[in-house]
Amino acid sequence: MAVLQILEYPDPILKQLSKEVTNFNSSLETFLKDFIETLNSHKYCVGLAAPQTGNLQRIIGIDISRARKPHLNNGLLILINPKILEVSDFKIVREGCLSIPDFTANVKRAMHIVVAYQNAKGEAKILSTKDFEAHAIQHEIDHLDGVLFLDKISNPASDLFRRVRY
Amino acid sequence: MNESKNYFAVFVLGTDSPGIVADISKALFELGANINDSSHTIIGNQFAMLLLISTEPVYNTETIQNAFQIVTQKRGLTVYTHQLRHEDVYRKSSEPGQLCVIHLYGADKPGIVYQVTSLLAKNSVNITDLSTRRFGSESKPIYIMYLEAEVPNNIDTRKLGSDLNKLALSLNVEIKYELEEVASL
Ligand SMILES: [Zn+2]
Repeated sequence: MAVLQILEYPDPILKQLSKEVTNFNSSLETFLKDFIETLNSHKYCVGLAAPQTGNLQRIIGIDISRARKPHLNNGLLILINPKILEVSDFKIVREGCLSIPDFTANVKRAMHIVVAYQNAKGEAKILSTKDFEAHAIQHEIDHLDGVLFLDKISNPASDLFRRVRY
Repeated sequence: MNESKNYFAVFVLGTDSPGIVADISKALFELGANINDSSHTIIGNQFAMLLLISTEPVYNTETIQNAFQIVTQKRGLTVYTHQLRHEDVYRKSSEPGQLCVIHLYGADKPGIVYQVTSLLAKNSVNITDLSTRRFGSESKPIYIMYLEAEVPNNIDTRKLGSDLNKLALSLNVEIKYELEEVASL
């Protein structure tokens, strides 16, 4: 087990498209162990996408129970090949990204989503979720498509907020 | 931040006219200064721009002011330059805190901005964005305010929310606020 290094923009890997996972084998299992350990190594971090660790596979990890404040959540979720089926209830929310550590941004996200995915065993699942968890899932799925919050903001003066690394 | 550079806050004020931003950035480009952050707005017909610039360490406020001489004379601008200590260049908050967004509107009366911002100050809330407009007729003016702030994590946001509601009641204005955690993703 190992904590993986998080890539930071402008690393070009973060702008690439990740590939579908087709083999649910032992190398996937090994990666997932490191991936979860990496997620857990960052304080208050509630989501991570495989390409942030340099692995261009469609895998995201979400754990809203790690947030600073209590939110409705399903604990640790590993979503493989996730696809958003439905979105509704849009709202502007603030988010930070481990791959853009100096800023937070205001981004429009759906507060209710339905997402289809496969679990670590390759079984097909459907999840309907809302609020913070729905928000986090959309941010991580964006990473699989090479999309960062820098692609989503309109005006850096009003939507982008500088912070020091923590 | 680059320790070997000098940092300045530059404030430019004047009557708005086309090409004003191009002239300001030309002066800075010719000086070899980097524009780290900038923001400008028009209030009435007044142009106001605030820039955070960095330069080679040989420059001081005087050389920056001199670089603006041509453009200030041509356009009648007021330029004020202030050199920053390195520790003051970027904000120090080490944690993202909680985001607070407040929308307020209602019949204008003295002290709306003052009362809202004092309540926030009492709660150590740091205002990051504030804009207001006054409109409607002179006899029945309407005031609208948008405010964004960072609330420290140790502040009880439910108490703050109920205090904001009480204040809205006493000012007889509509207030809507949201308090949320900044997601770390
Ligand atoms: Zn991210």
